[in-house]
Amino acid sequence: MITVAKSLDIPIKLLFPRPSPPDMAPEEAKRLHAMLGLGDIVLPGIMIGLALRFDLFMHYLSKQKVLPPTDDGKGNTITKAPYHSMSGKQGDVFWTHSFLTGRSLLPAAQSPSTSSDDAQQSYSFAKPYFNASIAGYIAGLLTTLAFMHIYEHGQPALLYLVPGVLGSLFLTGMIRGELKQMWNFTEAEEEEEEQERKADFENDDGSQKSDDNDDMNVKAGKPKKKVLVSFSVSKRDRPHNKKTRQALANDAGDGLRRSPWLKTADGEPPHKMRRVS
Amino acid sequence: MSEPGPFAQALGQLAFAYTQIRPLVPTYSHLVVSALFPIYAGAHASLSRPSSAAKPIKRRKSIGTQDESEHEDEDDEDEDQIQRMEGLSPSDALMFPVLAGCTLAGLYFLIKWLKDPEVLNNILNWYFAAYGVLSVAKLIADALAWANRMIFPNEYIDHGALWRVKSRDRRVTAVARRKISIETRKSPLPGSLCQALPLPERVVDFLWTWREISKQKWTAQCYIQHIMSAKTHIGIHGGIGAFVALAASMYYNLVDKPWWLTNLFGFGFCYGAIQLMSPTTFATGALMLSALFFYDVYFVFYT
Repeated sequence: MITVAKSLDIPIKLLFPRPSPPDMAPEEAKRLHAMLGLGDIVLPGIMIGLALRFDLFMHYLSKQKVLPPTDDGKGNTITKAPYHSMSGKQGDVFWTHSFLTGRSLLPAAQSPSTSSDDAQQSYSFAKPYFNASIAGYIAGLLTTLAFMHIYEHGQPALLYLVPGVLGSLFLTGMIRGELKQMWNFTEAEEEEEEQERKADFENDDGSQKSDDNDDMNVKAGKPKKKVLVSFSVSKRDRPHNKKTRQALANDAGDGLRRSPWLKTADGEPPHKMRRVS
Repeated sequence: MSEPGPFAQALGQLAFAYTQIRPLVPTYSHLVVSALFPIYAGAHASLSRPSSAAKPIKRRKSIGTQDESEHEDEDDEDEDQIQRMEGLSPSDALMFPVLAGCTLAGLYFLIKWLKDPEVLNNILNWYFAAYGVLSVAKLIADALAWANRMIFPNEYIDHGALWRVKSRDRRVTAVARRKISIETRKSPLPGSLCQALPLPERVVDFLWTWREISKQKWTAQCYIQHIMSAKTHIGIHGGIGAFVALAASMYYNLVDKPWWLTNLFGFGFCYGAIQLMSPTTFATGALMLSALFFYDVYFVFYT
């Protein structure tokens, strides 16, 4: 494996320069570089990614509300909380929350309304499994480096990384008593979701251009044309690029712009809100 | 003077070991940070709606439901980042080390037989170059988009007030104060430190323009029946990423292979792979990692 890694020049490894004796030629020094194979990063990495997604799953699981069975014998109904993606909001969250404690710095004059609390709190979630697996990964890496330093021979990094990552995940699950949820957690999409997603993809071409909801029925009845190969590039036409922007501004009511964090129970302007003491 | 006690001797040994390791500490810490960076970035980039959260309500009619122009962009980013992750099943997990072993053995014998691995290198190089360009382009585009979000936020807190950036008027106004303030600021950069910077008019204009350009996206769609269908939204960050990736790839294959460029491609591959592959369940992942654990030991120590 080391022979293959050293003879092939393709990027299947990461190289790290080492301090070399001053009289060595550059080509010689290159062979002294410390190496880490990409497999040693990707394979524990997908496990760590799974741990992070599991943390997000558990976070939303804790926000589910189970209503008692109704009179018409429907059984327990589960209300799921809406999903708020962090993807576009890191900058805003960074600049409106305290750097050290993560506490929200937004002005205290906000009345706590029941449903928009979710909007405020969903931008971060506890990551116990992710942190544990990263700690396990670091421990495994340091062990690899220690053995490599002592024995002066390349070490199979996975030998130390696998127990590090798997052990830390298992230990965290055991301590938190969530082994059953870990065992049952799956990311496999259900059959109907896959159909929906495929249908969405094919219908999505029309949604960008037409704003008219009434055409939906007509679209569903039309037979899909068979396209064999197609490439297309087009400018994204979004409503706020057109004149509807002005209409939006007029619709906002008293002209006060509303932010997810400033939602009040009845849309009153912030300076009229009750102060939370 | 009496002999130093055992504790002092132990400390002495420790100090000696430390001086021996010290020249290598930069290399080792570089290694650890470089391994963690793609894992951290890739894991966070792979986050999407979990099955325990509610499905989004389909919003075809966008006029009445959108909040306001500055926040629409984030919602739109959401729609199209739903990438399909390739899940691994238990049988895939078990086949992994077998396939990897066969590939590795095949490559090893090929290298030994060819004596000069130049041809093999060339073929593999061009193969990897294609994937390299795509994944490095995505990595750079995402990094630029993140930097853009941090430098040009939509809102920020300063001096106890919430400042909101209005890109159409090119002004930043304070809202949610006890008394509504008419104070406005001209620079889109956040924080009072950046406000204090005496930037010339042209630079401020450029910053506003850059902020707007970054939000514009083009849609590229590719559809080949029964083979693939792909749709991406590309903005200026994607364009820069693609350009840099192409340049890097050409330099790598035609001129020289410095270690930092190898690392850049390595980061790209890892970042892309962590977002595309998933072990589906903890059990499958554990199975795969254990199988590779034994395979790794065997291959390194017994061959």
